Amino acid sequence: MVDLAKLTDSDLFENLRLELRRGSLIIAVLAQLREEHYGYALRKALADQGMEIEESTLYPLLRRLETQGLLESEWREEDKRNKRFYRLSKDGARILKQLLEEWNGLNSSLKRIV
Amino acid sequence: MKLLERYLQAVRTYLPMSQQEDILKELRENLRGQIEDRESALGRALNEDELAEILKKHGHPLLVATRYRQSRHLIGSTLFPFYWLVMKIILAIMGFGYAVSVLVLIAQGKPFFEVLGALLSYVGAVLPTFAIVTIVFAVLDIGNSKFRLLERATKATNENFNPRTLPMLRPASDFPDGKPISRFKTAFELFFSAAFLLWWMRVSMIRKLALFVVLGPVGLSDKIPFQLGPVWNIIYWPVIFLSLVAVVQQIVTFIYPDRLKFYSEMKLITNGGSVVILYLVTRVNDILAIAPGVSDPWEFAETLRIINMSLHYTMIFAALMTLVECFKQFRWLARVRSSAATSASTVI
Repeated sequence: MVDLAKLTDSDLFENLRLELRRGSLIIAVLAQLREEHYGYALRKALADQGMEIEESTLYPLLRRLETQGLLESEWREEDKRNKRFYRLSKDGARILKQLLEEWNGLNSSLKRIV
Repeated sequence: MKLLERYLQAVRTYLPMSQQEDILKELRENLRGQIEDRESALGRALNEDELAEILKKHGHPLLVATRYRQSRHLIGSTLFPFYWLVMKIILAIMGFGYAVSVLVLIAQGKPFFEVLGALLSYVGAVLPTFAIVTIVFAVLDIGNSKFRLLERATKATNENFNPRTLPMLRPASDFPDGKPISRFKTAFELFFSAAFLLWWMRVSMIRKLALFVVLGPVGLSDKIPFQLGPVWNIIYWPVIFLSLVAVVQQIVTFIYPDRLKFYSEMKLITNGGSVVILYLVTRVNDILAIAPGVSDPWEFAETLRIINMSLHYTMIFAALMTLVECFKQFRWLARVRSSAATSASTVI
């Protein structure tokens, strides 16, 4: 358990930032996978749009989302190499829609509050 | 690329067996993609340092592999507050049981080390209890995450909850001590009152225990050159009476912590009586005296004088503190009576 009282300002900010990013990352990954990508290509595509994610976070996240049925994957050859391509599943598309509605609602509320 | 394979081999060590091949195959392709990108940017193959830099940035094999494992906890945040509450209650009940058994052993005049052993056995009993409660809650947590047991169990309670049945708000001034009476504090007081009573009734074991606590191993010696002075014989029965009143009050308060008037009246009696007794003790010079059989009483005369002087001032301080406590209880009782009289006249 993290003892918040003992954290410095930067530690505290880092913890809160990670907490804030955690949910947003999932939305970003699901949205980006409306188009098919393999792991590294997805990371680059997200980074190009300003959403940097560490490899050690992204690749396990992809597998988790697939286990939850939100993504589908298949091994396919591209440039003479076998790669695992991920894309949004039907369930994933439905959940993404709901998450985006929630996100937009939260965003407008926050804009009004702050 | 040997370095890449060495890296993947290191990651493999920490991966779950069933997913090793699949994860490593994917990881290899992702890292290759990254390496090729870098090579196209530089227009040449990467040297070992550059490759090592990419792998270092990717992360330590142990950390990379742990991200692929599902995070696990023994007791999750939903059940943890219940777990902690149950643990505290069980340990408190055990503590009370052990305290009672220690008092019984003392009253039976059992040898000192038997009593000490009973006290220490509490620590020995705490560890397995801690383990059992933790295991039970860990199993409950698994059940809860699979079958939402807590949600189902609390659903009916939540539906039947009526905020109108909650206890009325009570300001701090409603309580004689300025705050609600804690059962834990009452149990603590009860234990020490009972121990004091046994000590006062000259149960030799608890006297030895008290001397051991105050003086250490020396207290166990039979050659202590001091004993209580004659004044203690005069106040013997009054102290027993006041201690019994205190024990009764603490038992009642433990069972009914809301009987505030009874609590305050009994406190007034015991504190008032204590002030009188402490005053009587401060009036004499020999609170402690030389024990009979000491071959050379003059050898201890100076030490005895210093001890008696310290005890004298300690008693005065204790009397003043008890007087303040008396005054607080008296003022609270007077206020309760006057507000009762006011509300009675309003009704008339």
